[in-house]
Amino acid sequence: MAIRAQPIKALFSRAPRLVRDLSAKLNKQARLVMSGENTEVDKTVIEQLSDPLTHLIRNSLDHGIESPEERVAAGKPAEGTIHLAAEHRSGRVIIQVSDDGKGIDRKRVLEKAVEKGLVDRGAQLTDEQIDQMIFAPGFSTAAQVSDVSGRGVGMDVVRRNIQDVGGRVVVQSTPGEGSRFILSLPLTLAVMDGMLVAVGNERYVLPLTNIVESLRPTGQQARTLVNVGDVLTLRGDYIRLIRLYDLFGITNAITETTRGLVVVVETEGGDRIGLLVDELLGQQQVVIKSLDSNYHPVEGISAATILGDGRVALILDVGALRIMGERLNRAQIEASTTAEAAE
Amino acid sequence: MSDNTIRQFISFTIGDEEYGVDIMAIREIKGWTVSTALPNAPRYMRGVINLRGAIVPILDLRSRFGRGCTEATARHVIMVVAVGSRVAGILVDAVADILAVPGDDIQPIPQLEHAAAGFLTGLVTVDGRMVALLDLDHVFAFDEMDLSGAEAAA
Repeated sequence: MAIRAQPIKALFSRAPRLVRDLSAKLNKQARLVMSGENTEVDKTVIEQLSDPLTHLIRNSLDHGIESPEERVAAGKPAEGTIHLAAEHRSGRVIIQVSDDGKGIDRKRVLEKAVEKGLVDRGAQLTDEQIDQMIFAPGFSTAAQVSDVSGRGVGMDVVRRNIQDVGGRVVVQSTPGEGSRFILSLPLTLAVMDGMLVAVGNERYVLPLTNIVESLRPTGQQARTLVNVGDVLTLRGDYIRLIRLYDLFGITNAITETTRGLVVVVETEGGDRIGLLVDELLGQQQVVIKSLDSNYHPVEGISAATILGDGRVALILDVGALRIMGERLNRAQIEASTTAEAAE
Repeated sequence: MSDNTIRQFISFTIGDEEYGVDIMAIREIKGWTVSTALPNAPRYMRGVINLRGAIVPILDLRSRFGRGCTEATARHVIMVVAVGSRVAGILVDAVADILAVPGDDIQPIPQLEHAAAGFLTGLVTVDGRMVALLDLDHVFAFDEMDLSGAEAAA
């Protein structure tokens, strides 16, 4: 699997303009220093970091760097410095956004955390613990909401975006001297080899490692056994046949087994099942994206990915499909038994 | 208790009715794009979309209020909102207005009146129109959502 590595310069390239425009807007003086622009990072990591990085720079300019007057009064040069740095360390990419501003106002952060019920009044927190509170959901200490960065949906989203790509972010701060955000990222995102399948108008991805074979069954191979449900006979073995369109409530799908395709898959536990789909659309590498961040787990689905055309495709959880299939078959058998008994 | 702070909302319409969302919760507003359906999800969950690489769930507000599914066209609108630590989208008919109202003007919900009452935090009258203010946490109470998929006809 080739890593589509690019120099992180691509990510940093918007920063100078951002710093110029924002300092003008906020009546602050700041210069940007960059280092390690040639550090190579996977293209997909770069794409995911664009928003968080922008927000961190905005945050430094808005809340970190003081006005020229304040800085001079504090014995600092009127012009503040924001430093953007990247390097490889221990198999990860480390990106730092630091400023020589006034640092985190711990008293205000603690007060806000108490107000929001994140922490009990009188709780003993170390300075570092207080600093990390800025990442708590809904947190914003901007006394007046500046349209630049104070919306209160900032730092927690930054952290989540970074976590979504398997990264971590921490902040270090020295009052009066400045703050430093340290992002630690994997060299590449979680990538998987998958088989794209079509069921009706829907597209799903099956992990290639689960796939044993695929076939268009003959009339003899596809049967319905009493008290078991649909099965496929394959070289003398019976495997349960699961109709994905039925399991997922998909219309417009192929319902006749002999007109569709059955993908034989094997679960972690070694069980084999056959999944009825309309067609196979081809093998491709997919970047695994979590469904949990903004929604919650969905039975039968392990994660999601974004296809080349921008559409979201769900990645199937073969083990869960087996359980769901058995449950559905049982329910259908019970329903028809009850119906017969009623006649 | 007197509340003279000005609260800001963005309002939008579902049919003839106007609803408002706290402006602080709104991350962006975009046109409708086709979503990917989530299997066995409640009727009001339209699916998920790709929002610059993030997987964002879209909730059909009309359906959430039990008023049937929205027939979404390119002219419908998705309001992308932050709900706690999540980002999600609400499918609505159209964006209406930006409202700034004093806290005092916001009335509590009369108990039985509004079909969507459980999802609202208050009512306010602006220029003679009634705007119902949404409680996003309740609208998006995913953990309490019925996941059986066996929805009664909306």
